[in-house]
Amino acid sequence: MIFEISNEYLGTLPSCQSALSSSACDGKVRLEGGAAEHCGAVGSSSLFFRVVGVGGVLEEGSLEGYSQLVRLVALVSLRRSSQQLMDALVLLVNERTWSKAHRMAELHIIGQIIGANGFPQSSLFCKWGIQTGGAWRLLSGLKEGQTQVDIPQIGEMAYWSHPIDLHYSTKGLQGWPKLHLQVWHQDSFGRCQLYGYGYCHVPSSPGQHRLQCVTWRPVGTWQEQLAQMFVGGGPQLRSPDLIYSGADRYRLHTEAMGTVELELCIILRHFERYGVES
Amino acid sequence: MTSNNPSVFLLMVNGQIETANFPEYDDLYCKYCFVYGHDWAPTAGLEEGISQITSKGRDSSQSLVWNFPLDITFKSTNPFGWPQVVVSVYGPDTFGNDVVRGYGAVHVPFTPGKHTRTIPMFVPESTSRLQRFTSWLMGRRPEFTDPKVVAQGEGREVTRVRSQGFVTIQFNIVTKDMKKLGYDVTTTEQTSATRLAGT
Repeated sequence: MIFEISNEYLGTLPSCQSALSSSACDGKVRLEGGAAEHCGAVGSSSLFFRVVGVGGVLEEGSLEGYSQLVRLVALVSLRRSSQQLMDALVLLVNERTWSKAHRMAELHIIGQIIGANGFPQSSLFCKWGIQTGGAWRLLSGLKEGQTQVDIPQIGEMAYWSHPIDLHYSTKGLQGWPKLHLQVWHQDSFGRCQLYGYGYCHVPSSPGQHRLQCVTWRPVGTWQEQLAQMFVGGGPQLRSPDLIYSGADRYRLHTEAMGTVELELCIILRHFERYGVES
Repeated sequence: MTSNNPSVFLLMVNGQIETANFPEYDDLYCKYCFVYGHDWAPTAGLEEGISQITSKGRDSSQSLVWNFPLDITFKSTNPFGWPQVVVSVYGPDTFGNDVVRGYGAVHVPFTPGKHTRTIPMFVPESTSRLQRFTSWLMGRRPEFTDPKVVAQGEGREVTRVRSQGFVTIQFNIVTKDMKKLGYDVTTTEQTSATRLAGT
């Protein structure tokens, strides 16, 4: 069974429009694929696909080891319509074609937000997010989240062990990813209070990195500080953009808070193809 | 095994769950399992295991020794979903029932060589005071139905945990064909340093 997906069909899928509009493909991409059932092994089938552009085959391969494999095999074994199979194939190939067609550089950020110490009280949690420039595209992974609340029994340090796993492709170096953090304290009644803001650049050299992100929080007037001592709370930033931008900081008065520990591994791909040294 | 145009890279993980440190508990055993993304597949070795029950040593460090082997090889096309090892530690409470004493997770190290990782271990806490009271009364602790949730970043904002120990794991990592697939994991200084050490 071999099928071909026409341009019109590709164009109707929103996820494909970016690939179609790119100059490298010149609006003419053809996806071919097929399934061949092995005679020997029961229920196993292998799938292959080809993405053909103007300049020839952009990408081809079998589907072994690809993320949609499970879904595809399920579709084939259920003998669903080839239309559904094509849907799955298109989704699968698109992301890879996109980066392949542009031969873009890729960045993997994998690691953990380990925990925090140096804060006035433990029982902390952290909201985190990654901010990038416009040239960066998130291919897979979560780019923001919130950790668990940890009440440590040994020592001062609160441990979150929060996993991070991100895959970006990029057309430019501007706006290298930044990680921004907000540390919050949750008391025994479940009330939350801001304990610190901080950000750090994702390291640009490949390999494993242990990062220590310092944090700060805004200080109010003396009346507000007095109120904070008795009832808690305290001032917060109206726009969280200020955590990672230096534009409007001069009007703020802040105080030092604790540090957040992170361990990140950076994996680069195809950066040297553009002469980028890291 | 040799090919000029590899389509997958291999990650070989050897190591051991060496020791644990739980000041308040004794007679503990641990379970481990690996959690990895869709693009990954184990090619050889065991994905899960249960250790023996161990008691504290007589020396001052009070550490629990398992010396439990890990040995697995993965293949993948994409570093996304890099394997994590999830460890959960169990032990008897005062009535002899097995209860969980800690969950923890860490990524398998990324660069070839020997690595030691100390992972913090935590248990979930009851969210309400009533639940805390009933769990105290029944002698049952809250547990995760699937320990693999500690390797996921989603849905953690609702959990309250208590960290109460550490587990030390030693890893020996070998990778194959990552460079050939274009993945750059080590800094240039690191590679030159190992080359110097090798000569």
